[in-house]
Amino acid sequence: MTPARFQILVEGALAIWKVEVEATFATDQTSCQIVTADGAAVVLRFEREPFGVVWRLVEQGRRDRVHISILPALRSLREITAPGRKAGRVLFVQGDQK
Amino acid sequence: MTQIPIAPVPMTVITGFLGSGKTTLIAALLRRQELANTAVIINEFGEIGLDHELIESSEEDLVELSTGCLCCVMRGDLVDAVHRLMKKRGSGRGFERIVLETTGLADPTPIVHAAMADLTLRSHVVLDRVVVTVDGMNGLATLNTYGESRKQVGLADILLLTKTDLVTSDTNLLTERLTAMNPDAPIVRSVLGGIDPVVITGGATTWHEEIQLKEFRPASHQHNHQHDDITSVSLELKTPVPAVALTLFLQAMAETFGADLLRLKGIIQVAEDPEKPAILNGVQHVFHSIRSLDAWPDAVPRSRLVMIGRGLTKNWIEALLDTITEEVIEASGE
Repeated sequence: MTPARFQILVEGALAIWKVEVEATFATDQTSCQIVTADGAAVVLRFEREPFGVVWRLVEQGRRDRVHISILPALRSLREITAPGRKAGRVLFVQGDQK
Repeated sequence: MTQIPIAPVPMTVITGFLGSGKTTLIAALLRRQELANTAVIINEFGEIGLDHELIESSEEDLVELSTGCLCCVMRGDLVDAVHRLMKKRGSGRGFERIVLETTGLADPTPIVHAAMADLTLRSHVVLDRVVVTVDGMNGLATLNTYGESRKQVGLADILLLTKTDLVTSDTNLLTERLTAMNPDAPIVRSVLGGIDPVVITGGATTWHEEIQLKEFRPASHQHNHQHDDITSVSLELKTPVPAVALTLFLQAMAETFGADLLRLKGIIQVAEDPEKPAILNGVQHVFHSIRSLDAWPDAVPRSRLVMIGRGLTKNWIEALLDTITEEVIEASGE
């Protein structure tokens, strides 16, 4: 994970969900403050730990959410910024054979 | 319901916007010897009758389904129609294929999902391919105006350009547009339904197997048109992907894009078994089981991904896959 990629991922996800938020990145691009349309603020940052990268989501009045993968981090971010957006859940079906 | 112990038959879904030539195509195809043993299901109001004794019709379900995942909703009419056909087949009226024509305004996704995931349907049919007819004369205007048309194109395995005999100007703009929206789908030209039946039947291969055979169109074909909410992204992957990363990537794509992800196809070098390419093929969030080919079609393995949908951006998808791959490699301690 690089700071530049972090910014691509966060900005890109917010654009995909078409949410109206203000996203402000720290100068080192390791964290981003996101203010939603109703004024709620959330900070998402990535932190390098000995076992790898963790994603920390800080929301006022709530316990921090710490994820060890981008997948649940994106899920949490979507639940906060785009709660009405429907997400798909991968379903594998048996392959075909003719 | 009667048990019908008969092997599943391949089903081709033919869709396309109103007036794009679906019925003409089917009527012409049924006259071909190669498709003589074909049963047809017409899923459309007011469709002209086709003089074929095996024709079944399943009435359009106009109930708006708002319960979430459409693939989980039983498509009772379709299931019943297929079941009736299979009963006839079991009683000796042999046919080797089913062709399903959808309504011109249909979103074919629920039908494709049902054919892939519905247990009853899967016991009767194997989804072979989705053929989409596009009017060679009015196709551009239709694409500009109707989102349903753009979605149909995005879901196509084969694009059939119809009425090409009536076109006075060249169709380059239309074919460029179609290629930009669905770079993986071959474009076949048709006059009054006169096409090689192999386009419908695929010869000896299924659409899965054809993925490896199709020409991969590089990023130079990616350009957005003013009206295109549906676009495509093609990636060539430089390094093998761990199997776990691949499944996490698919889940992240399905969650992030939701219904905006229409198709995802690929041939991937998996780190655990790099000599045998893995085939990915999904419609929205429903994927065929990942399976491996015995060998790479090219001398040098080339992992390729093609995604079609709304709001897809290449650099975001690349960043997502790179991040997930790194996470999995780090977690495995390599």
